Order: sequence, then structure tokens, then C-alpha cells
Amino acid sequence: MLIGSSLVTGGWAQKKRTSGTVLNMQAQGSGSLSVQFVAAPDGAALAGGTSGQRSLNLGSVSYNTGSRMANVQTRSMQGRFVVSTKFGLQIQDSSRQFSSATVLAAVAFPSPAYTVRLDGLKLETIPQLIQGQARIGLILQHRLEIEVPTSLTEKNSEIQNAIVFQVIPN
Amino acid sequence: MKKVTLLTILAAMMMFASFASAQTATGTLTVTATVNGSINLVFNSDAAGVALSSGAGTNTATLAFGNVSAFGAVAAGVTRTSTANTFTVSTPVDVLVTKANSASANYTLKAQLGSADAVNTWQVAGNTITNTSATPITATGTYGSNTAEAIAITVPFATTSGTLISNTITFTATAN
Repeated sequence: MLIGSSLVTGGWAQKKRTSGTVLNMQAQGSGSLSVQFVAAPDGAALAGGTSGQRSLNLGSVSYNTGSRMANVQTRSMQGRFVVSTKFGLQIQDSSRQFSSATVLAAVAFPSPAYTVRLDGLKLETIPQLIQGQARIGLILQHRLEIEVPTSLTEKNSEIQNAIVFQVIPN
Repeated sequence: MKKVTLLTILAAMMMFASFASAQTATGTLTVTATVNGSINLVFNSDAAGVALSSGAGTNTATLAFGNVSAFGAVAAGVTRTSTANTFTVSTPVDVLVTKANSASANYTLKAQLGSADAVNTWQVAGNTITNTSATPITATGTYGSNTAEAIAITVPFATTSGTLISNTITFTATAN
């Protein structure tokens, strides 16, 4: 009820202040909020793309020999192993309107053969809340983990997916 | 009724406007990795043999037969056979090969002596091994189960008492 009331009031107010609405639309058009990926000091190198579309290649990994790539860790357990690294995510707001944002993340493709976790949270194709109050402007480190079962064989050994981050200002 | 409808439409319009004006940003991080199949070999003490003195459960272990002789008592887990001028002491050691992310059905196991021994004869599972090349031990090893491999040393009677016999045996498992 409170939300409905607020919406109606806002609607009237907005209708009255047409110029305000136009300003908001311009701000959206200029895209004041942006996402930037940065390599963590103790994380794997990021490659390619624009700042908001980068690639993280974890290289060749195996249960018994781990990884030879710098800042890529592996942890072997019974029947599975986990490949992990860190990366940084920075939210920027050129309009300086917002101080924090909500960060959601999802994998682009379903991955039944392996599990992708971000900060311990298993990612699905449906966006999930990663951080409710991410400070804008700060580089926030995130831990990416990929859990690979030992039953995954050479036939389907190429892991390729994308993590889509959605950032909504608070 | 008309007013209610108008209010509803306005409210709906405002909701749309609210969503439309919400600024969101997206970023896409492409993640790639290549999982390589791998196998692992470790040594374990065999229940019927001499316990490994160090390194059980790893790929670098030490097997100490202790004092051996042509006649007299033998240590627990040691089997001795003799000929006219040599004696052989033998004990089983478990070799465990496991696989991960591999479709390999079985493995080949080979063994090679670390350094030449012109006096004593070394055998693994009945196969004489030397330092010149790796000797096939098994062609179809089973993954995930301890396989007892008898390690045997044949010593001439002519060997002086108190002589230390020491060498290394390198086992190599290859996925088939």
C-alpha cells in the first residue's frame, strides 16, 4: 500500500514537473552509471574488450597439477576441484548522483557440467544479488570459483561462459 | 469509475516511467578455462608387506627392508627365496593410480632403476628392471585401486656382510 501510494504521488508530481522528467531521461541516455572490470593485485590478468566487457582466461587447469597461471589457484577434493581467482569491479557514476548500487550477477549460459560461484554464491542464469550496497567509485574485489567434477572428461573440457553483472543505483 | 481508471493508468504510467528512468549498467566478464585430464600415482604400504618407512600416500616413498641375510630369520612382510649362490628378498608395495577428467580406461605402468647395480638384481612384479630403460610392469592397470607390486632384490652370497644396498625405482604410469 505504501509503495502504491508513493507511485501515485510521484506520478502526479512528475506530470507537473515535466522538465524534471526530461532531465532524468537525458541522464539515462548519457549512461552516467558504468561498470568497469579491473585486475585484482592477486588475481588473474584481464584481457581484451572495453572496460565493461573483459575476458578472464584461467588457462589450463587439472585436478593433479593445478594451474600454471599466475594468481589462479586450484583446490582438489574428493571427486572435484575448484579453480579460483580474484578480480575487481568498479562502478562509476559520472553524474555523481548515487553513492551506492545493488550488484546482481548471472551466468550467460547454463552450465550443468560445472559450477560457477561468485563470492561463494552459485550463479545461475537468473540474476542473483551479489551486493546490496556496493560503494560507487571503489574497486571491490570478487572471488570467482569454478568447481569442476573429475567426471568431466576431455570431450567437454572447454569451459566457456560469461558473467553478466547488472548494477542498479540505490 | 472513470476517475479510478484514470488513476490506474496514471499509476501504471508512472511505474513505467519509474523503471524507464532507473539507470542501470551492465558489464560482461567472459570466463574461459581448459580442463586437462590428469592421473596421479602414489605409493601405499601393503598389508602383507613391509610398511613404507616414509612417504606413504605420496609419490615419493621409502621402503626399508632392514637387515637381510641368506639364512636366519626374515622380517615380517619379507619373503625370501634362495638359489645355490644367491638369495632374494621380496615385499609387496601398493601402487595407486587415480585419474581425473579423463576418459582413459586403464594405464600402463613402467619401472626403472635409478642407477646401475652390477651386483644385485632388482625386480618389480617379477620383471627385472635396470637403469637403462623403463620396463613394462602392467599394460592395463586399474585406476583407483591399490595394486600390490612385489619389489625384489637378489643378492649374491658373495656380498660382504654389512653391505648397504640402496637404489631408487621410478614408476611411470601412462594413461591408455
